[in-house]
Amino acid sequence: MTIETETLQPTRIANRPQRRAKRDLSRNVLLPWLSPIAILLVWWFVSAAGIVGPKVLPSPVLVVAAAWELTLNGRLPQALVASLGRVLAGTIIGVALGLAAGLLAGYYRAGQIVVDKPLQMLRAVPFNALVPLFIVAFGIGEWMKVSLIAVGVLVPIYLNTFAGVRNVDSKLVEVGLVYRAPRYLIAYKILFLGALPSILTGLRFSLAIAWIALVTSETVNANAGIGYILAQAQRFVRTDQVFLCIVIYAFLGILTDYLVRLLEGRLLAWRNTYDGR
Amino acid sequence: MPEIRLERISKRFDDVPVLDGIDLVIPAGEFIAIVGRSGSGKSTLLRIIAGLEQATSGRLQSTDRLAVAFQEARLMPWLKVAENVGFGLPAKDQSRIVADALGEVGLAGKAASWPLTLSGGQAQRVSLARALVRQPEVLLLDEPFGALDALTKLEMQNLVGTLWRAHGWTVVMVTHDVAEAVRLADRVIVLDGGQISESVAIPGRGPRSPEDGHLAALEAQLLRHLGVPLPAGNAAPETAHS
Ligand SMILES: Nc1ncnc2c1ncn2[C@@H]1O[C@H](COP(=O)(O)OP(=O)(O)OP(=O)(O)O)[C@@H](O)[C@H]1O
Ligand SMILES: [Mg+2]
Repeated sequence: MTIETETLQPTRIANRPQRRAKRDLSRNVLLPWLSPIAILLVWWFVSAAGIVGPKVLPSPVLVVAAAWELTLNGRLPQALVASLGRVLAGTIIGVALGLAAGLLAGYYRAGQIVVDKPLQMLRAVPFNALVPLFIVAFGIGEWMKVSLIAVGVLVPIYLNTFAGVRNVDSKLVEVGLVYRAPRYLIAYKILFLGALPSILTGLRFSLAIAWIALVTSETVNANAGIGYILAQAQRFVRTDQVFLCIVIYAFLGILTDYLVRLLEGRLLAWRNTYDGR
Repeated sequence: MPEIRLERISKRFDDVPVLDGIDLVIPAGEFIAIVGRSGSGKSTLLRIIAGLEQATSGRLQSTDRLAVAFQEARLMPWLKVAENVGFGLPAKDQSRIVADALGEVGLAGKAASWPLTLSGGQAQRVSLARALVRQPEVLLLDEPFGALDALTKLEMQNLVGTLWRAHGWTVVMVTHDVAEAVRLADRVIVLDGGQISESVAIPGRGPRSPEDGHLAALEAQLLRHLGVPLPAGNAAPETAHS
């Protein structure tokens, strides 16, 4: 009997390093890419086997060739610069306005009364329904595109900033009040930093919307940009180029998500959250 | 330095009376301890003095220059320990003052830690340090040593007592621990039924040595006021060591 329990314990302890190894596996940077690679292989196989015609599903090789061709003739780099510029400008404007509105409405009840209802209404409107309005207001140039992206970005940032501020424990605000901390300090070090987890979640939603807004605005009217290549490719039934654009959008989306996660890792290092087992 | 004056202070929460006509004058420089059962309104009284709660009726004279260590540590989890202690202090000399304070509460090595990695007692000491560095006129402490082990508790009591002596602050300390109240305070008041049911002056100045023979008698007196049944005859329990 005693021997049994004695032999049991070392095995239990010996099992621990295996757990550890499993955890480290989830930290591996390549592992999350396994399933996308699998999808790519299936795609390749399906097109190579001729199950679906190349006009519907071009092989990945054709898509790479399209990328090569568009890079050589300079259209792709030019389009990327144009599109990224629009997303960047729209995002910066949208984040700045959304943050300002969210902090204002979060900090002051008067601000909430002024700002919240209009923005809740704006949220209810699909932003692409605003396109005609924006064309009337801003013409069909860059401003229309940038402001459409900005509006799309603004709404989730606002909502999450506002909710984040209002979620900050009032007991912490009391600390600031009782120590007679100046307003900006309470606004920054208690409310803003406390709302940051929520704000960054908002940023992730925002950036996803930014790409959608970009496509929408670029397919309406454009003479440069990924959306422009997409529209052209559609017109000339260049499915390989259509796929290329889709892949680029997917890649850019993942890239921005990754950047926000990096940001979260840096800014939210204080958190002590459950991260799965 | 002004005194704190409460005149017929009452407080109701949703028509339930918690404080019922409290009259209390705390002269500048006095160390007063408030004891009472859980839910007797000690924290509420402290919050009223701090200006965080509005009395339902009565008159209050207090000061702006006060520091509070709350019953819970209330650290901002997104600020490092040192930033929490230095919160709102003028930038000049801040890092030195903060480092000194953390040293005094025995947490010099934790300056760069995140609050969520601290133990309960460590968090409470950080919160105490945050109150002490403010050099207040009035220091309000709500069960400041509740989460500490016996040894650290004695050290922290000595720290607060010594700083109080050195700076001449007015201190209002809420505690469950009658022995602690008697060690540190000039006066101990018992809160019961929304009123001050007893006020006991403690001779001498804190921090007093636990060996002080008078303290046991005062402690027993206060425990009786609190309604704690004591063993008949000799108040010393069987396990007592001399
Ligand atoms: N904001 C509030 N709203 C409603 N009731 C409250 C509120 N704050 C305190 N109370 C009530 O007032 C009473 C006194 O609370 P208080 O926190 O002052 O007690 P306490 O003496 O500090 O107790 P403890 O020793 O457990 O900390 C309790 O019955 C509590 O439920
Ligand atoms: Mg309390």
